[in-house]
Amino acid sequence: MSLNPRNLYGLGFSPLSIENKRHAFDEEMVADKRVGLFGIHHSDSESDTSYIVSAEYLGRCKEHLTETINRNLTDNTIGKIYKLTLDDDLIHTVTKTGNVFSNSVSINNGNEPFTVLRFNIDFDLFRNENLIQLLGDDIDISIEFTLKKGGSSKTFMISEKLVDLNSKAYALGYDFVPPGTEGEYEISIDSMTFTMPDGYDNTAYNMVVYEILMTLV
Amino acid sequence: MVKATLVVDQKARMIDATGTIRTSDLIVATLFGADGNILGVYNPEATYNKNDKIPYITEDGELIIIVALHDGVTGPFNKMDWEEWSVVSELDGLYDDYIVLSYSKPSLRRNKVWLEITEESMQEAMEHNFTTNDAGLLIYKNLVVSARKPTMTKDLIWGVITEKAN
Repeated sequence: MSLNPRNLYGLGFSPLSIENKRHAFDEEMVADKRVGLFGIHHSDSESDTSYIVSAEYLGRCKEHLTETINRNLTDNTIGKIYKLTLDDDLIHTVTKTGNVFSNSVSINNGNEPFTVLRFNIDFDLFRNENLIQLLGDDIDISIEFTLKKGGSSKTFMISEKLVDLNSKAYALGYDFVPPGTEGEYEISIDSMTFTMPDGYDNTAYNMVVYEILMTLV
Repeated sequence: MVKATLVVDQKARMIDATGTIRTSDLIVATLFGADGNILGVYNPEATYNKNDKIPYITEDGELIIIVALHDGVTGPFNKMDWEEWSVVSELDGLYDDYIVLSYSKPSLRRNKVWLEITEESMQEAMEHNFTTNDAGLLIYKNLVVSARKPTMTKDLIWGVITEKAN
């Protein structure tokens, strides 16, 4: 029997979008279709827990963490590195100007003051049509944070070009705390706003934040 | 919901089981350091113990590491409480086990650095009234200390004599 190509049909499938992971079965493939990132959804009905594993994402995060550790070493900003996760999905797409923080996050350091704050954001900015990567020179970022000791607090703002943020470290001071103030030192990151350039078209371009690492010394 | 999760305590990783900053990490931080924030600049309110290390900017603007000479260093900075630290100085305690100084090649060479003493270097040392210590001589075949630079310097470390020993 000869095979007539006209009788052959292809079979295609589309993996479940990561936004719909709540509908995923255990070990079902999910994908962030905006960037083509694949993962396997795991769920345990008994413990009612679920998570997504992605080898590609893990590899990228490992590389990002290594880069951050080395940068801290050479810049002498050696402290604790925190990962700031924006939502439950692996990556976050920035489609327009706005604050990507839905809530502030606080970290307590006991009786030791924080002395240095820095960020390292792993992101991609590319054209959907031909995957040309852009540097993002004209994207601005503003980060609002509050230093606290006891009842005293003061809010500060970091405003930078996104491409410059990763190479900078910010010295923290407590001049606003009256002498003799009791209490523990705390920092809260209140907002993180990406300002996209005028005319930014999120249908033609895609800005993806893979990971945000924060170093506190 | 935005969350912050501690990934790594980088400073804690650099401290070994004895509570000391690892030498390898300290070297890298010293070589690439810029503004003296490696371990925290001198804090007069803190108390430093013997062998504690901090960065220090010299009058010439050079970044060095200094090490406390005794326990209980505190208060206004006093240079007499500190001396410059170097990687080589960490090896002082290894001479007995790892470095052999002798005329003849030791029969057991495993894990040892052998520095050969020669008559020529001995003679020069005597001419310049160099003293010797109880452990042996201070001039070696591949480490020459002399007034004039040797004609053959390949595989040889040369140190010039600048003054007589007291």
